[in-house]
Amino acid sequence: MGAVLAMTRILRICAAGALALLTACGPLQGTNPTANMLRGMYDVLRPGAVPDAGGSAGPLTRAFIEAQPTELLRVSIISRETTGLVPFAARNADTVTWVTPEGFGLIFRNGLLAGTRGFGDDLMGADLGGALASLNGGGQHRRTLDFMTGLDQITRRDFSCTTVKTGEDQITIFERTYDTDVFEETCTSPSGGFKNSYWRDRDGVIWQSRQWISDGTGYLGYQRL
Amino acid sequence: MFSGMAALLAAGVWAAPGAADQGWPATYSLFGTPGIVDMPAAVAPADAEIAATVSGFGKTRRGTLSFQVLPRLSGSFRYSLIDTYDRSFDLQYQITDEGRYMPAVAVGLRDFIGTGRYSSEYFVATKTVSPNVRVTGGIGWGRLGSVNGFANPFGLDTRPDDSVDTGGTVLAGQFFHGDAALFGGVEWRVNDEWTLLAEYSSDAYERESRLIGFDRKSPVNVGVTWRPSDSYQLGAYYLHGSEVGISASVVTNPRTRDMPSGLGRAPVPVAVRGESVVAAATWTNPQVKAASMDALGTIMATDGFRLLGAEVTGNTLRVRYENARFRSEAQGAGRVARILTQVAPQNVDRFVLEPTQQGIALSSITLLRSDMERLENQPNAAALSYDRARIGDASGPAPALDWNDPTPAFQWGLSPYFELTLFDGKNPARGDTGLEASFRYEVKPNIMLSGAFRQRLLGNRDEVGSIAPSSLPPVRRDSLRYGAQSGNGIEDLTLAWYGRPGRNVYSRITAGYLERMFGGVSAEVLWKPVASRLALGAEVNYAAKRDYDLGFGFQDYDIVTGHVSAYYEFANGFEAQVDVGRYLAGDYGATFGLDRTFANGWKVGAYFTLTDVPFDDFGEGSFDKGIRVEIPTDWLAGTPNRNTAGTTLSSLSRDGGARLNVEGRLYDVVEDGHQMQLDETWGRFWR
Repeated sequence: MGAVLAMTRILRICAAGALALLTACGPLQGTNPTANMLRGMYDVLRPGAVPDAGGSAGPLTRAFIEAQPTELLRVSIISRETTGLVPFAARNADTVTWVTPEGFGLIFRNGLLAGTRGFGDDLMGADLGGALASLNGGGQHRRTLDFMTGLDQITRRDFSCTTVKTGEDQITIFERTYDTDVFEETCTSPSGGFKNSYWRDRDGVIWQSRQWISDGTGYLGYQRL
Repeated sequence: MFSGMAALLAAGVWAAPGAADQGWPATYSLFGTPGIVDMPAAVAPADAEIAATVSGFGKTRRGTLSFQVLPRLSGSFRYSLIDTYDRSFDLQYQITDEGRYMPAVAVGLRDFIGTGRYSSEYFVATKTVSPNVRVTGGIGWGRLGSVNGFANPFGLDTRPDDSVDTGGTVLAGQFFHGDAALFGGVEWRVNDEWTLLAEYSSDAYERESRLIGFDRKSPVNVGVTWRPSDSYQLGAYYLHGSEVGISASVVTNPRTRDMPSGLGRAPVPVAVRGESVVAAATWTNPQVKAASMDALGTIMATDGFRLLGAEVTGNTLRVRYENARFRSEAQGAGRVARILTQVAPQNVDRFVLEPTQQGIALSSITLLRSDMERLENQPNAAALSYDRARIGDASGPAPALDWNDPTPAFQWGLSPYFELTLFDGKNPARGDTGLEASFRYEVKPNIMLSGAFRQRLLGNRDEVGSIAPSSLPPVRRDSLRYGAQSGNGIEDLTLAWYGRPGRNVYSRITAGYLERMFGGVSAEVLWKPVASRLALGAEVNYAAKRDYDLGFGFQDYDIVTGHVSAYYEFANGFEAQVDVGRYLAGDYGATFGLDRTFANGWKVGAYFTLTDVPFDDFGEGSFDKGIRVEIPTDWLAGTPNRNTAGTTLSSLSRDGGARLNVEGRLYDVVEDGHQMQLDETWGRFWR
């Protein structure tokens, strides 16, 4: 799938313009179309969008987590088979923004994904009132998600959703154990659907979750560390 | 330790079903247009779809660019090798869509401008008779009426030869004239990727049989196409009982984008007053102000913006900046406004953003700080913030710049270049590649000295053939001679000064070596109110012809040339431009252009120029015309970027209707910062 996309992209780039096989240098090269196109191709084809967990900092341990100056999320973009740590960046009312040093951004409202930035096909916004309420025991609700179109407009997609508590689970996240209720939220629409899972403790904190981002990006998995 | 995560990953992907079945897409024929093998079909591709097709059989080669101009109108440009190289234009109009019992019906004109080597007209009907079988039948005239033809049903028995010696004119006098004949065919979709084709062709290939030994034994053509994705189609064919053919099409649609929101970095989050206090209370203390300005300039530079001035008046902070990274000025404004929430003194509750290009302010965008705080991360935030934004003119003086801008005044670059000359009479493509050294010295943000020097490394653009005789002065005919011998030279070297003489008015003066063939002085003024669909401009140039060696010298030809221009943006995305004036060879006339523009930066259009030069004197093509495509680089690459890759497929470089190529004409500089473009791309405000 990814290979086909990359292939398509190369075809399109070849179809679209001139390619020279030289690289460019100097401050003005930023305005050179050929150089920028080459750089863009490199960025697209470069593997590993999100850096691997721990990375050069060594193995991820509770001691490492405790030593960090900010809160961390452990995140995975499931379709891209990438995992990484995302530090807290900002809070605005009931939304929290997390941004990696590479510039991937995630926005949550009470543990539910309210937006992403930098993933190519981002979730641009989400109306989550019904979804949040449904986590208190389940139920039916509507969800509206905002996406960018190919023509730079926001398109709002409505989903009909059902949340069900499927069980209880004791999960361990780096030496800490949480007793959680497991909820599954199934959403459908004429143009497709998705299924989110939440591991939520008795205080309402979602410690682990798997949530849909968009058609192009797929699912996000995360744990609060 | 990772058990929780592993469970998540193992949960499997409950994938969203694929996009709804869009129906059966058009098959691209050997002509590169919707059809079967060689015959047309009444199938309209998706609106705005673009297909580039190359095909060949026997000694014939065709390259076609096809564009779905409107949901019902297809337009195509073709460059073919028949007995000689030949250009052709086609149009097809979908009269009715397919109904439950009624077939879709279309009318088409093939090769309706020019020498008419493929000239034909047709009505065609197509019906999907079962989910995987599509049947087409039609009646054709011209070449499509040349097999088993019968008397013209309209009584237009004689098909006149309507073309002029030099080609290039509309062949309206012969449309639907002469014998007619029937054609038809079947497409059978074996599975999602493979389609089998069979047709009865009403084209006798008389010209090819007579001139290039084409051996036509049968009217029946068969073929198979493989379309493994929406993006390309490959075809193989057995034609007329004697020839094997192949085709390849690359299909794209400017309306869609693999990565619609792009790969650029997440924006700086909004800082909310009272929650995350970072900014100073006021800037009344000069030291606090200096430190704040420094922080603002530095953060903006990291995100691709250059701070050109910032000033607090009362409770308003006005910031002028240049967006060097983002195609959409709306996205730029959203990102700058978020940075301002971090840095602006706490007593400021209103931001006035003034995006600039070439040092001149394009518009002023007024945003309330409380709206930024309130709407960030909220559903439907883009529409809500657009409703609250005020967009106006920004012709006033720049706010003070109390900041030591680290952007160096002198910048240089060394990069590869690639230059292609297409469809030159004898040689379908000439190309050069080499190195370009460029520099830019900024006297002030709106006054810059810039230049470029090229050294050719490889290419055949120096193979200058004979230059056709003409009664006009050689203002473009000899373009290939420039730099041919030396292989290097000064491409351009100019001093440009941009200005805002008043409200709604923009100006430019450029002097020096303006382009490869001419040097001189160019002055331009543009009237374009920020919310107006209409813009008016005027340009006057004194141009002297440069020496062939691309040095500092001039030849003995100079002229005063200039135009008045009107630009209009229609609500459906079409943009029209009319330029009336005097051209480089001293001829008078007008250029008409129409482009379909897309909010994401794509442009596809066509233009033609008619001047008082007689068609015979103009030479091949009779008058200047062409089609042009502009593709934003960020659409291709995903990463934010203000460049576009563009190409113009035009008739040969001739002397009639030739205009000076001056860099940085005002309309292109100003347009992106005005209301229409801000509105169209406001979806990116929170991106």
